[in-house]
Amino acid sequence: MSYYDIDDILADSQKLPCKFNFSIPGLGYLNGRPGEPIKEDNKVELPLWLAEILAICAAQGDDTANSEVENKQPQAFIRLIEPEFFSKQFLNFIKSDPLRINLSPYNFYYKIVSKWSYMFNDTELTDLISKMFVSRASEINALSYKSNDQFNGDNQEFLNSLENSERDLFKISHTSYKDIKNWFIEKQ
Amino acid sequence: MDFSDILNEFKSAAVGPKEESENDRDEDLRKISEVWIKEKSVPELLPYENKLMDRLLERMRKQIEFIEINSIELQQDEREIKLLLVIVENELDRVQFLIRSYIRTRLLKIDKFSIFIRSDKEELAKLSPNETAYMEKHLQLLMDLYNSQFLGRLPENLQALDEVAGGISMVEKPDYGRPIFIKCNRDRQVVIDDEAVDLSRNGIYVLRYSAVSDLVKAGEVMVL
Amino acid sequence: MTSFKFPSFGFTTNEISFLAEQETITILPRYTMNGTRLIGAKMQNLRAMQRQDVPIWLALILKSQDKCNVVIPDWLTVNYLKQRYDEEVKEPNKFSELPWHWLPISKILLDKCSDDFLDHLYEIRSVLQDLREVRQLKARKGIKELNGVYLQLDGLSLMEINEIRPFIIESMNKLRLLSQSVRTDQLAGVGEDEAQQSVQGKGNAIDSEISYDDSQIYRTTNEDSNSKPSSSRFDRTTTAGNESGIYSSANTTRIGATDDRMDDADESEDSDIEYRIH
Repeated sequence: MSYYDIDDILADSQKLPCKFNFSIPGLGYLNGRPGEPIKEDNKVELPLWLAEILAICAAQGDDTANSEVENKQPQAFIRLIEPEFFSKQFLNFIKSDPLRINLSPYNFYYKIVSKWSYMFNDTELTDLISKMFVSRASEINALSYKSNDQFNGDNQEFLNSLENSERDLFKISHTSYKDIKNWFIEKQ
Repeated sequence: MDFSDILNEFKSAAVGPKEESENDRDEDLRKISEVWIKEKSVPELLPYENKLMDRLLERMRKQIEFIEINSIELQQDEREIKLLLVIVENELDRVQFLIRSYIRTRLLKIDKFSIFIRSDKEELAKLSPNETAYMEKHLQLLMDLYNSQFLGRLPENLQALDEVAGGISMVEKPDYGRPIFIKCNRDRQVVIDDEAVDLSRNGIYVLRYSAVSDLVKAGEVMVL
Repeated sequence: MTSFKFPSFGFTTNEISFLAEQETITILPRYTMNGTRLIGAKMQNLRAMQRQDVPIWLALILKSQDKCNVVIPDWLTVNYLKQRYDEEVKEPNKFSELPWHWLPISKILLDKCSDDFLDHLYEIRSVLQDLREVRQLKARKGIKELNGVYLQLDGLSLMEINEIRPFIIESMNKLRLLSQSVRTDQLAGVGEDEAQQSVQGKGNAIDSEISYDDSQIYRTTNEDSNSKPSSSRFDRTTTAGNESGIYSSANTTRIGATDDRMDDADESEDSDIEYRIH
């Protein structure tokens, strides 16, 4: 992950659903109600970079803590809720039909998976997503060999369902094939 | 038979090792192609090929002289000389292309990793004196630009361009895990992710640079 | 949206063609002429009707000036190529042996030395096309075995490799990044807190509505300055200066030393799928 990588920065700004563990005054604007406090268990969509930090940093205890609080572990400000694209249903669909799932609404999906798996050490998720990537990448490669007018309906549907980095992959592959084709044809 | 052999040996020894053999020259061209391919494929900066470049640049100078001398003397319509000049020029262009592309690739990498290179002695040793001078000047220009344009107006603790303390380092390092294509010259084993992977002779493999960087640097596998 | 990197770390078809032109080929000079000193091995004197080996680029110059004929290499005949084609069909998991630069050399010779061929041009072109297609299909089949660790592609020629190079590098990179995000060993130097977290494990990320409580990972209260975990890039709470130098117009061109960032060096285990074409 590079500091200046635009894709990383954009990926970090994708929103994840979270719930606050405390009531915090003055943060109402996150919820669209400025001036009011954020209540405990309020659901908010926060960008990844913010969610990551708030989920990790523990709220420090008061000095006036009583014994009850001392025994409890310090809680983070928020907890992350499983987003729709990591739900059991979604992942099952991926398992059964990786080519038909539509990833285009979920930009930077793979980067989000990486960050999520990193936070929760989720090997199952990365395995599943890796397998999905391999099937989709092979299909992308096979399709990138065709020229624009040779796509049929199904293929077009697949291409429309690509996430942004998959689209870049398609472009890269397609350019490479096209260059060689053109080089073959042109008589020097 | 023996006597003339001895005479010949004596003759060639007397001429001295100054003249590089045709084999050496051929070898040098092969070397620069190889070095060019390596520099283009490998994610990090490789050490500068000082001696090779010096030899090549020297010979290029001689060829340029040769062309100039012969072009001037071209009074009659000497077809053969013309053709030879075309050949010499053509080869010169080819070698120039290789050298230019080699230097350009290096400069690209230097630009990208300037801050990192500066901070590390080993990395600095990979640059030629010209490249080092280029890097310093370039960096200075950039710094002046950034500072005058916006960096100088940021709060002071946000002005650094080389902070490594946060989660992501600002200093851009080469991505050693990037895959490269290699061809093995003999059976060997490498370790990737704590697993030993067998590579067989003449096999073409794609693997992470970090797994084979030693072999590449020692010249024991061919980079494609 | 990704910054388009092709082919900054790859080669264009022209560059591959350039490399192919360095190979030697046999010519039959039509006249006698002197050679000359070159940067590489010198050009030999040419004697009419006496075969000579020269680099292809040189042969092309001579040919264009009508000074020689080119001897078409043995492998560029319909017979040889048809045999290779049959081999390709017979062995679906293996590539037949073809010269390293067969694609650019055949194109160059067909374009520039068409009169030197003994076979019919259209036959050669057609068998070359068939060979190319069958090999391309095989290469694409092998891509299904893609993984983040390694790939074996024995028998492909340079241009065929270069054709799929950008795709393979990009995909392998993505797979590697995905698998690296899950660390199974704790050599990352991040600190014991994170080790603790992964030991306790976070199990089923797939249950819905379970809230993930990361409070176990870090306590902002007890930190040693070395274990700088993945705080966001906006964390400035620490460090006055000893870990990073200030690189600003002020004066110091010295950049601070220690980089305690986690190394990419340790990677977690990947799947073992290997793509082997023997």
